[in-house]
Amino acid sequence: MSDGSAAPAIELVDVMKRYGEAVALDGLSLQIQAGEFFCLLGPSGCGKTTTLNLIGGFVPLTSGELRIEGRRVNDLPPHKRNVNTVFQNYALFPHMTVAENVAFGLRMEGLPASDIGRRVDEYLELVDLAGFHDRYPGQLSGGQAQRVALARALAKRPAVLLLDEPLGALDLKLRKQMQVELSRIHRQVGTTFVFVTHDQEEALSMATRIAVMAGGRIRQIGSPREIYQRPVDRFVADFIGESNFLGGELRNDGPGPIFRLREGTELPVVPGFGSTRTTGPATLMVRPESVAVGPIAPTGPAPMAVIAGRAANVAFMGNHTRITVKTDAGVLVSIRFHESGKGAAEEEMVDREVHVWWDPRESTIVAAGDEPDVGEETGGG
Amino acid sequence: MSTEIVGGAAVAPPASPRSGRAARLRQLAPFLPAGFILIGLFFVPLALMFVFSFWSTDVNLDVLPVWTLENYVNFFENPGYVRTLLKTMLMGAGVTLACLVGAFAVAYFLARYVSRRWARFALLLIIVPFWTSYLLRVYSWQAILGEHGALNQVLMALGVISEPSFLFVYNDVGTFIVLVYVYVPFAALVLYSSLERFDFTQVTAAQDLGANSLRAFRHVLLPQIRPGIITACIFVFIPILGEFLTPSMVGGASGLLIANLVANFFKNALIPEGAAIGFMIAVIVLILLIAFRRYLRVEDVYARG
Amino acid sequence: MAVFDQQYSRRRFLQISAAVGAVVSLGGVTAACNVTGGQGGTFNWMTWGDHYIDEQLKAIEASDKIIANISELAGNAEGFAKLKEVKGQLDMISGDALWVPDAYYKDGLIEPFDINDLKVASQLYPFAREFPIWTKPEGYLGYPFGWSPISIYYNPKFVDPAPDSWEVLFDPKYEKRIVVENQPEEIVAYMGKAAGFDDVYNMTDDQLATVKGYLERLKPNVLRFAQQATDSVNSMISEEAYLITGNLGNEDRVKDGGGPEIKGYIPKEGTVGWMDAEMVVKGGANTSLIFPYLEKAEVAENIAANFITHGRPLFNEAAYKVLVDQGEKDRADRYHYNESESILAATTLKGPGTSTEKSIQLFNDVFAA
Repeated sequence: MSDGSAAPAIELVDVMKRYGEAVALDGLSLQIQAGEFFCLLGPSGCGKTTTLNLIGGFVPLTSGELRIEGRRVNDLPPHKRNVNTVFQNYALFPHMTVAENVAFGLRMEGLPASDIGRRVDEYLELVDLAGFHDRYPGQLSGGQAQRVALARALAKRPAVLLLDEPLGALDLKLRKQMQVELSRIHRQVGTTFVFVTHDQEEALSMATRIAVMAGGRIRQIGSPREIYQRPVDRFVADFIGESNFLGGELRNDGPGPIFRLREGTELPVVPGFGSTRTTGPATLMVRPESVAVGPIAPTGPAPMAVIAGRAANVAFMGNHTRITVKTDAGVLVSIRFHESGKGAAEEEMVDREVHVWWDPRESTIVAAGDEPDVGEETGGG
Repeated sequence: MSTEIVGGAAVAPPASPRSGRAARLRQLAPFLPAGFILIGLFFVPLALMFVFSFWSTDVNLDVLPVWTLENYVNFFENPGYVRTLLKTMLMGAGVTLACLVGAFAVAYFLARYVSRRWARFALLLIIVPFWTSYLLRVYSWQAILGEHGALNQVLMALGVISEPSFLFVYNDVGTFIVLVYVYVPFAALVLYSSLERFDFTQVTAAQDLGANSLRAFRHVLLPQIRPGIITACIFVFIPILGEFLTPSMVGGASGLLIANLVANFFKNALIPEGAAIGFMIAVIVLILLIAFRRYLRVEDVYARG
Repeated sequence: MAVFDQQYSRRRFLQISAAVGAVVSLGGVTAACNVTGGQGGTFNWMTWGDHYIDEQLKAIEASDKIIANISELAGNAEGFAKLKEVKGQLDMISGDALWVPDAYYKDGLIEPFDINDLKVASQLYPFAREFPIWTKPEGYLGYPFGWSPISIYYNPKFVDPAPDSWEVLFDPKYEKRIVVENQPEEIVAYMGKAAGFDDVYNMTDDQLATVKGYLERLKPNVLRFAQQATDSVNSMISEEAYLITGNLGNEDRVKDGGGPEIKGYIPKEGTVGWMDAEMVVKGGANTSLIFPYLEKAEVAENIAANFITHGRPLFNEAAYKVLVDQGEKDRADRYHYNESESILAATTLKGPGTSTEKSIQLFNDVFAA
């Protein structure tokens, strides 16, 4: 494993990838530190899989530089990169047993048979498949096949493990289990994981850092929390989770920045949350769970952002309730998680005049209002 | 690898033995025509051939139902037959190998790098010659390989040779070339249908795990298409044991194969004599089929070709 | 027509099978339709492709309502085997020389008749109505049609001096320059002639041992085996072959195909040959149509036209006169049309013999790997 102190595990410098005329990666620069669980997130066609394939050595890059553990590997074949991959469809060898699958890479390395046996046992245990040695891939469930693929790649003890949408083929419940498993395994082996997904929830739940990609470029890199709470633009906000967007104008002619809706209501915003320095047309984003709904907005020490409207729909969703409010500024969605001992008062609000409000620290200015959104059709949670 | 229940017997409700048998008979009914065809066109002729091979022909060319081993004794006492049979098998093995190599290259390219639609189209083109009669195709080869044929003209125009060459025709080389041409499509179809099912990510995975291309081929691809390869071998090798048209047309005086010797008997109504050698070939075929029955995937050609 | 003109191929085999199948089914249908045996009808005939001309068949159908339902005959042995199977489902079948008495007649498959009951028979050379091999107490075995000896053809550009014997086939000068037809029994038979034997379809073991030496000398000179007569002709046209064996008339076929001037001769040691006949099948459902058909089909004008189309001599003497009148005397004489009696007398007629099986074994032995 890499010592990680000096060089990043992976470094991309101004990487271009073209397929004929089509630009797949447009000057990508990226550093992934040793031991990270790094996620490349984006809609299909955003370049995330291409990035993974470049790192894995399965496709050559057009220009730029790729370094793994500080070493330039642009022209090295896959098996000389100290990188291993878990493929989207697992690509297990169906004619080999589980043990033979895991041993394959070690055999290719020329390890002595006794070492191979030990290593196979070790990694099957790691992925919780001890005793599955003699099964064939055809006899495994999807989750088990996924673990074998993981063990097979990890048994090589690579500096970096690449995972290409590894949970895509699993059903929802299994996917959640595997998310927990993957996190555990990552903590246990300490290897750098680079993970590609289009599922924002997966990314948020497992990654230590996320790069949101669109159109062959990185839109934002940050921790899951940063990405979720402070998306830099409407695309990122829209792609990660559900958002309320309000169009208006940012003004900075008073004591603090003010977001003025088109119909005139003025909402306080916190300086520095989003691009509050440039005034003019802008979009304000606030997450539904940050939005409260009630007959009257509470008054407190800090000024709240308040908009009047009418509750159009209240939907009980099990662990939460979803309230849709029509305002002159547009439709806003509020999500209220149920707390024990509280009655279901929300239902009574339907068709009543209500107010929606939020703490200005919960909202952020995402981008100029007329910015064209890349890949918006696939955005949203 | 799936374990499916064959037929419907397993889900039939328990019943008395008699009605159970009736039900089973009813289930089998749709297969009766196939059964009759198999029996009528395969088992009966084979049995007849077997019986005939122990009889003899009189001067009147009537088959006499007198039991004798003479036809077989004649086969083994006459080194020419054994030699020709061995030569035929050698020719079959050589052609099979050449077909495999050529067909694999084509099928691999189509399966891996060409979209399924275009691959199927290309396969169709490969099969197109089958729409012309076999005889015509071999005649065409005579025209290509002959003394004044296209090949000699090209070689002479290129200055490779100054006189027309008989190197490629009316000898075993000619037979080899034409047989490869005739059977390559069979091999290509079978191998393509094997490769089409193969998930090439596995090759990538093998390389990712440290295998070079050769080892990825040997350890990952080859074991999985082995049934296809064996099917292709059988589909090429076995018919060659019965080939008489090509050797008699482009093989020349020294290029006859075992089926030519058999045909010479049948042509003169010497049925028992021909049947004995024919049966020897059938036995070889049966031995091969039994040896490789596990790998035979007939549906490759008929269901997917 | 001759065995030598037969190709033996998978395609042909399928054609025959299909044709026989059709004959069997059609035979049943037409038999049912023709029980009353009136003036017209359909009869089933297995014959070689040069025994009829389509226009002539159409003319007979138009004038007499007699339809010949023809299936292709591949060879004597196969025709014989097939007739044994389908019997009365055929009404007429063609066969060669000794096959007629020694196979068809012996097995009781055909119905002898009085040839002089046919008016058209008076146009035949008289000896053709009296071949001893075809004369049995019950009557004559078939209606004589065509004939030919097996000759050698050579291209004088390459073969010099002009040969007159079988020996030329063994000359090392002509290594891989001879095309023979793929007919083992005939090849063995004329090798017997080359060795000076007479009864080459009934050779003794000693004779066969001698013939083996001749076959072994022939082998290196054989370029390839012809599947059908046109293959031999084409190999002369392309000049791939210097020498071929075959029926009368190949010099014209080579010339017609744009090939060189070639010459043919009957080897001085004698040769084998064939003459064929139309036989009436015993128990055929529509045999009543055969005489009326033959009366129309075998007239001199038709036979003369057949000669021009298919190019080998026939037994109709009146047709020779028609050919002379039409200015075709040269051609007819080149084909020995008018010499049938003397040439056939010096020719060993093809037929199933006592050495058939051993001939094939011998051939296989020499040409095996």
